[in-house]
Amino acid sequence: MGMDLSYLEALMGGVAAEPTTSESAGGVWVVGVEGRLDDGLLRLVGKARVLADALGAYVYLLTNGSDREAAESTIRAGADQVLLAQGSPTLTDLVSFFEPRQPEVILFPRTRVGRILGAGLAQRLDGGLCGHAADLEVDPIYRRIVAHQPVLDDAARQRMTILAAPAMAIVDTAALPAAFNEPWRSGAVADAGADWVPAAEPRPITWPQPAVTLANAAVVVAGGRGLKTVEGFALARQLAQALGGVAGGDLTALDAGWIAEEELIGLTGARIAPKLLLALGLDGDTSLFMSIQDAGLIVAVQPDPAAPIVAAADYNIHADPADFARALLERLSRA
Amino acid sequence: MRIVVCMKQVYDPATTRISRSREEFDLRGAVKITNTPDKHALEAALRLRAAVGGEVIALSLGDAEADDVCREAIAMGADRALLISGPEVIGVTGRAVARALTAGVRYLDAVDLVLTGQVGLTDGTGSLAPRLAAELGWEVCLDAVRLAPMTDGQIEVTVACSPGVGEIVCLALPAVISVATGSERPRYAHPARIANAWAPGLVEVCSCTRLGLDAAALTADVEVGGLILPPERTRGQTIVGPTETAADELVGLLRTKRIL
Amino acid sequence: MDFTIPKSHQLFRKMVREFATQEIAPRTRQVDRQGWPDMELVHKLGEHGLLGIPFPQEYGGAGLGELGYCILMEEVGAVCTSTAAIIGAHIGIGVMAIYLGGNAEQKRRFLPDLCAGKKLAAFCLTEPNAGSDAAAIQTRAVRDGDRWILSGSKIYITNGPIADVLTVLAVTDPALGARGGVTAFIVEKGMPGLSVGTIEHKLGIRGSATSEIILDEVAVPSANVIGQVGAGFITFMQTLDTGRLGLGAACLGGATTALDMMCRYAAGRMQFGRPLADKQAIQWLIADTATEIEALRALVYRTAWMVDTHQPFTREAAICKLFGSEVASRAINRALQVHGALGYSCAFPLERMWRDARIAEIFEGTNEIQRIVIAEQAMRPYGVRVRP
Ligand SMILES: Cc1cc2nc3c(=O)[nH]c(=O)nc-3n(C[C@H](O)[C@H](O)[C@H](O)COP(=O)(O)OP(=O)(O)OC[C@H]3O[C@@H](n4cnc5c(N)ncnc54)[C@H](O)[C@@H]3O)c2cc1C
Repeated sequence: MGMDLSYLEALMGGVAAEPTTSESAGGVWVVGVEGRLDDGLLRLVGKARVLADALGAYVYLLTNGSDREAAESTIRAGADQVLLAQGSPTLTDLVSFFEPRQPEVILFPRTRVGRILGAGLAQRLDGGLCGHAADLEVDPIYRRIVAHQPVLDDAARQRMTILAAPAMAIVDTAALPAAFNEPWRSGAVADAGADWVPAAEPRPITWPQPAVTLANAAVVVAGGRGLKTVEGFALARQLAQALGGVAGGDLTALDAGWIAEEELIGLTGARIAPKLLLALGLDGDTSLFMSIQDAGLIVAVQPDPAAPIVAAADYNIHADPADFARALLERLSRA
Repeated sequence: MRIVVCMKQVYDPATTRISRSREEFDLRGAVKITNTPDKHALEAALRLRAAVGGEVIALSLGDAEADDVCREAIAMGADRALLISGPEVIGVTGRAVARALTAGVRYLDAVDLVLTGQVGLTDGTGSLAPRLAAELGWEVCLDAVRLAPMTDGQIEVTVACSPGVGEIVCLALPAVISVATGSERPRYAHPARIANAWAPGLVEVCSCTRLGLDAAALTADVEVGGLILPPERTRGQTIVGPTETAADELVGLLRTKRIL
Repeated sequence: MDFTIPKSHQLFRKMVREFATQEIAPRTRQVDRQGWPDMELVHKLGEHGLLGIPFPQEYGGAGLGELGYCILMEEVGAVCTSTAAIIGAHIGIGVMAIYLGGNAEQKRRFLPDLCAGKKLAAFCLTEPNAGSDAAAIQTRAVRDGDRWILSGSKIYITNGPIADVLTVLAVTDPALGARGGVTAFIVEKGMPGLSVGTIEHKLGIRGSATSEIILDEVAVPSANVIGQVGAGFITFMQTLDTGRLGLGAACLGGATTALDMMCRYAAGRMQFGRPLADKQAIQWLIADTATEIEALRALVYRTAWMVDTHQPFTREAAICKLFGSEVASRAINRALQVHGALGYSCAFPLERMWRDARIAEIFEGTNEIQRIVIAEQAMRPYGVRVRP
């Protein structure tokens, strides 16, 4: 297989011609073989486009989730060539598909199928893999892909330079920027020439989940004195429900009889560590602050700019908590 | 049934800090623990053994300290352990880990099922199970919450798609399955088993060479670089404007932070 | 010299800590409020092998020795003094009396069920007229063929109302008294004449059950005599030695929790524009507590090592109990002070810890009695015989 010098053309300012055959070596490949073409896959195509531009390479999308018409959206999102396949590939199918093509980069979305096929393919092709990438860039000096892998629950991201070829990554598409939609882009749609067996339909099942508690909730809506009435506090409960979280309150809410003892947040109640704490009409005191130390994002709605919570919250909204809760509820129900 | 459970030692995320100035992990106070998701896999294996009989073997790869992981697995109920260790395995990356563990599974011989945890804490990606399956040429399934052996050499796996919602799939054995953390809570090690876990003969230590792996098989597929840190937290910011626009802005903010 | 705790015991500590945080801590407040043990928890302790930690595996124990027992008591004491008292009365003195004084047949007969928590033990020494003066017991045992008839009353018996196996000290020969006239018996629940009397309402450790035990002509087979007839006093005193060490370990746990709470609150509470921890008055409370805890830790684990290596440890156990109970009380009292009104509030755990801590200065021999034991050992080389 000869060397792919097409990127030189791109580097020199020329517009690379569309690839004519799917056999051309190299290229940045996106594999979306779950029978659908969703926004995540389009974002991934966009990321592939950015990498391909830096490498001077083409973007190929191998998918079984599209017809010729729908494939246009992937071209607007950055694909140079869309290869349409039928059925669902096994790992062996993908190995035989990619072995002769010698791709430079292969990206999979971080779905269950993507994780299985991506990691399996990397192992079979002797490639290098970042199994969980939130972003990708090109190291132009060594012409290598550098993946950004979330660590410590995404408290930071670790640079992972992919050494072995092909450079592969399983990408959390939700972390990527919005998909391109550029009508001026052109690309080709071709048949992948792959004859895969349809996947078996899985049997769905549900099972009861333990109730979410204050201590383990991802979202907590906490209310206090500023909600004024029991009806006002009910808004906190509604918001908690709308956000898929649980409601709680401080001592003032407990004293007012708005919450049960188990719903108290504080040193004499629950310690919480949600991703989002929405504090409605809470003033904040030592007991509260010490119990919300591990909260991710704190948003406080509090008319008094001098309230102690203002300095502890990431974002403050100086409004009447009940009014704001109503406005937010209305927007959430619309979405 | 002979079940192998892959178990690794990790830095406890609760004790692992990040140095902003050096853009790397600060491991000075970090404590090494058995990767808790792997204990879920062990629990699943022990339940399978209770149901159909057989043997549960913990398989680990790491430095000499990884012996602790093997002992803990034995204290929890594993029959024995194989530790792949030696200077050549220090710092190996995903591809080589899968190759070495595959060699370990082959060495253990006549294995019906390999279980792994869902993901390594601190800096894992959850790609071991599919890598192993690819190396072994076995079937694979991820995020299992329940395993039910069937009579015809298959195993019925309940897979979690989101909390409380999933699907049932059947795999032919031998297979590799990653067990989700939403599965049964790992049991406490029994004190008497703890007392006996350091008895001789329970943990076999094996070098890669003995497993037939050369240096080429263990070359790195990736190189770990520095950390990229999010901007430092700034508290006390204000979203200005009337209630309506502030609500709009908050919805936008929650969208970008991926909370909505 | 090597202070390393063996790997097995390090893993055991992890296991107990996990168990204590997940199973015991969530019930601590409830058992205190209801004034009664959570029997489901007691069964869980047994199910997970925690009620036989120091005893050899041949008798159903974990074989983790006194070191294991101290680790257990420290970790449980860190989250719930009531539960530590239940375990202490069971392992530390109740079963221990059979283990130290009993013959092989008795150990085979009783220990497996006791270690597995299928049965719970109590240790019955104290009587209305015999507290610190244990030799003054009046419970009588009279031989009747190959059985003994026991009559009398024991008071303040931890686990009394929930125990299945009671080790009871009774007078078999009033003429000889403590020197050969006192015998230890294994009394089993269901034996006619054995009953639970008054249930105590206590200042603290309300989550443990304490009661009177009434023996009304209870016929006990000779096979249930622990060791030799007449050797009971020695067995009971030896048993209390190990019990005291475990009590010291539980105090270590309680003190450590108090220090942790103190530091956390001092860091979080702002007054005069700065965290409390900025004030030297608070720092000194923290420093003194940390120092005492460190000394206690060294003391407890060295004594455990002495027990496991079969050295005499009566004096050291008394020191552990004396120092431990005082360190814990001081630490918790200081933590309460640092928390101000919050510490005094019933909504916060410190008031319970404060009430609970007090017991360690009283039971298993009051601190005055410990001082007597220690002084006695100190004065012996000088030819002075210290008497209580
Ligand atoms: C909650 C609880 C649980 C208990 N559990 C058990 C149990 O499981 N089994 C059991 O057998 N007992 C148990 N006890 C009893 C306990 O061991 C006794 O209370 C203790 O030994 C003291 O005896 P006393 O209460 O009769 O006090 P006393 O002996 O009357 O002493 C009263 C005070 O005088 C002091 N004093 C006594 N003699 C002297 C002296 N010579 N010199 C200086 N000061 C002295 C004491 O230190 C004490 O301060 C328990 C007690 C309590 C409160």
